Amino acid sequence: MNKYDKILESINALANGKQPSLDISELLYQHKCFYLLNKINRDNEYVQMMNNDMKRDSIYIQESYKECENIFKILEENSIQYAIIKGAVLSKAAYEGPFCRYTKDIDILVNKDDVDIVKKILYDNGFIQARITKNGIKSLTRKEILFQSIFSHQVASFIKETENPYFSYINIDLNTDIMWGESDEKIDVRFVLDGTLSTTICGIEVRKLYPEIEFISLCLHHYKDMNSIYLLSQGSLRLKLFLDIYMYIINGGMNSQLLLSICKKLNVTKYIYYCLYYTKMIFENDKLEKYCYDFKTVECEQLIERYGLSENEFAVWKVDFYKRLFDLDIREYFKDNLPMKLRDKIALNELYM
Amino acid sequence: MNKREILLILSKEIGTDIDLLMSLPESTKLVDIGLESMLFINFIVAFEERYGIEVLDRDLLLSNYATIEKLLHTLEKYIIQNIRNKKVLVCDCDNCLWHGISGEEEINIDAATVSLQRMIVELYDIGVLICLCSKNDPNNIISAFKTINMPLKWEHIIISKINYKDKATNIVEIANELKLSLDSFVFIDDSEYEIDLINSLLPEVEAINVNFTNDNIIEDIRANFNYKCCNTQRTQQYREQKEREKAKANYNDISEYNTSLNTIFCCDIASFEQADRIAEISQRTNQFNMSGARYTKKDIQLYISSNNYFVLSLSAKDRFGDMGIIGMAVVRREQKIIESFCISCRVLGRGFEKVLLDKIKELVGSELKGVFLKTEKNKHFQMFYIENGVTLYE
Repeated sequence: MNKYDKILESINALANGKQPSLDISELLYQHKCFYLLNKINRDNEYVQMMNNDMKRDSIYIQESYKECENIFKILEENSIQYAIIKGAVLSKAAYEGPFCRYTKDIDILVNKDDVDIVKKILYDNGFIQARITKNGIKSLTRKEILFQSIFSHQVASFIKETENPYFSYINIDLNTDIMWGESDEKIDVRFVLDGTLSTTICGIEVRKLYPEIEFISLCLHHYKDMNSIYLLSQGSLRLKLFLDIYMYIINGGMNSQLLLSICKKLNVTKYIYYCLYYTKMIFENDKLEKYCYDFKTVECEQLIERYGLSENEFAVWKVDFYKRLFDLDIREYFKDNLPMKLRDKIALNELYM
Repeated sequence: MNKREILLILSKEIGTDIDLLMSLPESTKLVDIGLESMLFINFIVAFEERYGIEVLDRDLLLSNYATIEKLLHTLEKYIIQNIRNKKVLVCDCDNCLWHGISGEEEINIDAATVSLQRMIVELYDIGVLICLCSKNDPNNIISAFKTINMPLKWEHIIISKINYKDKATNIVEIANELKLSLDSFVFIDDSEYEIDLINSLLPEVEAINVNFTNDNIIEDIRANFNYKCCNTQRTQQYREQKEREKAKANYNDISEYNTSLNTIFCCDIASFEQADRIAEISQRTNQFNMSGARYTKKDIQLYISSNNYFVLSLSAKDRFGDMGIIGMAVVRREQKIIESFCISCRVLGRGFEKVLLDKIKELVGSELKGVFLKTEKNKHFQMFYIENGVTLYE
């Protein structure tokens, strides 16, 4: 048994309600897998740090949703299609409640046509487009705002100061697509937002996506984290991505045939398969196995060993999956393996994102 | 004209000769002429600064800028918006805001009417005054607003003319009540008869036939309004002004009435934060605009930061409410020349122009000169400078 096998065995033990043979507390904390870390019957520094983080996050979620209640009401009253994606809504759908995932913001999916109206609503409710620095909130320049609006699937972040001692800011991200900005394939967001469901987070009523569409949105977001050169260089490849996918398969209440049919309609099957494939490399589960079998096609297989999000970025990994997930310093790896043009792109993203 | 203007900005960003750009076929891909990601952002910023506008997010799709033709199509409307400066939207109701005739049949809304209403609410939010003009019984129209859950609400409406008078007379009444000229108005109606009537009797009004088979109807209406000149308080300010007009009727003498208002002025050197509103006043004021100069926010900011100029703002509040900034002036310091002097038409007849002029005299001294360019709209104030000791500057 190599070292990765023992890690995987311990992860699966926790996922199935058993205690791990190896102490993987530090690894789970670094990978922000708070749900699994919470299952460990041990009181070590990582469990304590996680408890503090989760307590802070749960207060953040409660207070930020309360603070944004008026915004959700206005969106509803004005018949503006929206859905909360990721964050507490995803946590509630896949885990045991809204506070089981590390959350630092509220992500709202809207149609691009509605962004200007929604921006106005956010401005009227005290938000500005800014970034958080060590010296406080710094308004973004017009160039920074344009960069994100044009080249990313998200509008530049909206921040509002609070007086809460646990967290100083509320952060809202407006998403205008569930595909990444660099993709030539765009998804019809009206289709995605057509027929959302109502849910409540801490007593606040909000809209969310149907389970199958929510899962697709989750996988596309995590696919981007697993393949974007910029995000990989920022340490985005973590176990929590695969835990989310696994937990949604188990608890999300999806219809697998409906999911497959929607994936084909949106032409995203290969990306979903990619996520399922690598999730299966970590978690052993019959349901997950069946999903992989149903989604596999020749086109899907072509993506497996690749990273990058567009034609001029594609490259093949020279290290195996477990090493790059658990051991690799990807920034160092990119220094030796990325052409200068792509390293410049990382620098440009660091400047404007 | 607009094409050259836009391509001139583009040519500066990509370092290409403007005549060469003008000679290229409009199907030319922008990436083929060197417009890559950062240059594209620089171009958009330069365009925005030139016209004092912000390109809306809905227009920030790369596909909108794939070719010269698409770029022009996307950005031309911002130039037109900058020129056109409509302030009022007058809406018909039946078969326009909703389908059906209220009071005669069941009315309903669908995706098309909801889109239209949402656009109208958007206009309200940027300070456009929304009025109704409908040939129906007022109770029927009010009932429609109360019973149907729709984006446009009764509180968005500043004036409603719901009667059986001809619509030209109604629109003129609205213009008189708001003290705005007819060329500030856009009128929308589903009836070609009504549109023709307005086109014939009130040619200054932009009359648009609402036909939902026209895919561009929302854009056709929206294109008349300048999204950058945004005053979210405008409707409230006009409501407060109406209260002032009502109260005036209780007084025999205008000066007695003005005294009763307990007006408080603030007239001082403008701050950077006021640049937007000051620019807006210069762009929107036609009557008491002595030189006709129109400024962007950037222009005003440059004047504020310049040692050669004063920029002054005049704001006021009275017992009815805060009117905000209602006057501005740009003064060339050393030469003592008033290059621009504007007072909002909402507050004419209250002596605010004297307050602003007195402040200029206090700062600059006597022997002032003022630029006056006579127009059809400002001719009533052509004696203002002379009567107040300011020499006309040629």
